Amino acid sequence: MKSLLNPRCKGATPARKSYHRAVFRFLTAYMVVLLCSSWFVKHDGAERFYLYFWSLIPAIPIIAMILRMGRYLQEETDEYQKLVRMRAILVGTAALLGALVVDDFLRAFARVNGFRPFVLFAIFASAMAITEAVQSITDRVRDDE
Amino acid sequence: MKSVAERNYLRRMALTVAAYLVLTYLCTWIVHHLHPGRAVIYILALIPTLAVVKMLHNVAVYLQEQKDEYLRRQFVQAILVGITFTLIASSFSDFLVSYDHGRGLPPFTLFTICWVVTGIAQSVQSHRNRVRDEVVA
Repeated sequence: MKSLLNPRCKGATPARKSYHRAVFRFLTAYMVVLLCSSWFVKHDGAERFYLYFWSLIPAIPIIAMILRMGRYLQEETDEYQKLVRMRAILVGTAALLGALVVDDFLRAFARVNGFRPFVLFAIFASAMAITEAVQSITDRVRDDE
Repeated sequence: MKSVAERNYLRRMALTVAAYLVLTYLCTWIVHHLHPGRAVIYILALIPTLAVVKMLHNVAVYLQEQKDEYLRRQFVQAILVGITFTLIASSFSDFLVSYDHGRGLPPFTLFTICWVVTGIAQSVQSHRNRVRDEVVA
């Protein structure tokens, strides 16, 4: 169960280690691309074509990260680890869709501005991370018992 | 031939989607006809999310009931495809909101994209499975 407590410890499966490295790279790439896109739009992208072009670019690391998630589920041989990831994905999806629906209703009926930009992705990622952390704590308690 | 888990999932999902549509219609009707205050609108906005949470609960129950490892993995992959497209559309919309005078995608677009794309991914998977079966036969 050590692999759940700390993904970098010796107990983590090779698939999980490689997945964590890839996610870290993609998150860094996402931040860099987002900042670069914002900079280009502010300084050089007032035209509508460039605006649409730069708004699509930050999606590339997101696509790559979720494709990597799918590949990890294929590569992972430990059934329990796979179940933990699946649960985390489901909770992340629930948080994302719940936030989306509340946001949509408020925009449609209360005429308020919804969440600030880029909050939804943060909600999805945070919910997944919290679920994994909670599951690892629950497992540690069970191990101790 | 669908498994018991698949039949249960489809039945639960049909009921939940019906509940979602009814709740959405009711909330919309209340907002348009009774003109409630801002606090009530915030509460009304939360009500349809109960159906959304139930949808994801149905998915979790299906993954527990489904004994076939291959079908289970396919299902999670379909959800991942749906989430990918939702996040792409969300990122695109957020960028437009930030830099195109606050105009993003219209309300309910992202939610629709998520479920429609998940459904399409499942159809593609089942089509690919069928082709493979025929080739083997």
